[in-house]
Amino acid sequence: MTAFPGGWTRDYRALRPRTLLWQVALLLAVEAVLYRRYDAEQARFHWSTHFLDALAFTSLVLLVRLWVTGRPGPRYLLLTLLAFHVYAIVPDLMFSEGTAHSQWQNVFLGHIAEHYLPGGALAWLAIALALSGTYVATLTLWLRGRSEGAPPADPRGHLPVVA
Amino acid sequence: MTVAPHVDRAHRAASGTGHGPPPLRWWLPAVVFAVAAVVLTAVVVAVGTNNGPLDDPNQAYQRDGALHHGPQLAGRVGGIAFDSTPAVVLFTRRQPTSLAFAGWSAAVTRNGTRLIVAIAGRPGTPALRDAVGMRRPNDGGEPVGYAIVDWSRRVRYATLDPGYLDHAAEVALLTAGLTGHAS
Repeated sequence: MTAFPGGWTRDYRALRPRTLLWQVALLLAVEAVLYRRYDAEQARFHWSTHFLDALAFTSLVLLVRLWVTGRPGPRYLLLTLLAFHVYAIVPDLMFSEGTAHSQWQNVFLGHIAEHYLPGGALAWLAIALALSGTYVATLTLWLRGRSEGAPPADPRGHLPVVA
Repeated sequence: MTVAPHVDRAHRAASGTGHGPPPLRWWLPAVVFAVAAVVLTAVVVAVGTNNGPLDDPNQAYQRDGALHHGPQLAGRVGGIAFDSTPAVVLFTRRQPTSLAFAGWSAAVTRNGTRLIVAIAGRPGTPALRDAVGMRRPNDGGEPVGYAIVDWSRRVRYATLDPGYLDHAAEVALLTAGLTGHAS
């Protein structure tokens, strides 16, 4: 078996409990602020839609990355979700600064079009949970492969190898 | 480099270069996900689907904040003449009389927009409502909200908004682009 510099430590970098805990705290704090802001504008529906959209997209990105690189990443998993959520609501920030919404703002994770998904918030909830659940299931397989005996020869472990 | 088999795995993990066990129990992400999914579902059902009797059954159509290219109005609808002045057509169920309404109307007409108040039950209101394409609220009654008509008499925005008195700045922002005035 061939080792690689910093190999397994780097594999687990995104999963350090302390790092995950402060990310959870920061994510919840920022989301609470965002929720209050949308609530004050009587637009809670928009908060939930954009959050679920960001969660679905983030899960997809993390899933692809896990498959391709063979390790979870990037280093700050939950901050990635927060970053995509903030990115998705950029048009709302622009609106509060005096710019009306427009179709080109769909570049922000489909900011305009996403509201018209049949089924609305519940449809987005189903999509977001399906994608994030798939990611967690894949991550669980990955972790389990490393918790049982010797580390696998391939860093992808029990994952389907695509690269 | 070849890994020496006699080197202790835990020692290698502690040194930062080894093959130690994961820092999390393998089942922990699944448990956290299950709890988070339940909480998120409860939050979304509570805030994402629960709206009031005067709100739009499909919230996507309520205050989406984007100007559209709706129907073009005739020169006269429901007895109201439309000219080249952009207009806000307010739909209400009762004659608004509050001080808050005075402030709201001042704010939305500040940039030269004309304000038309269409009160439910009055002649002409059904024709206006149908012409601009106002949607029915959850309670099935008359709409409370507003439509924005541009200089060419085209409907650019039509939304239910029972809290319209709180959203004067929003209306002014949407009409600003039609009149050439900054909001």
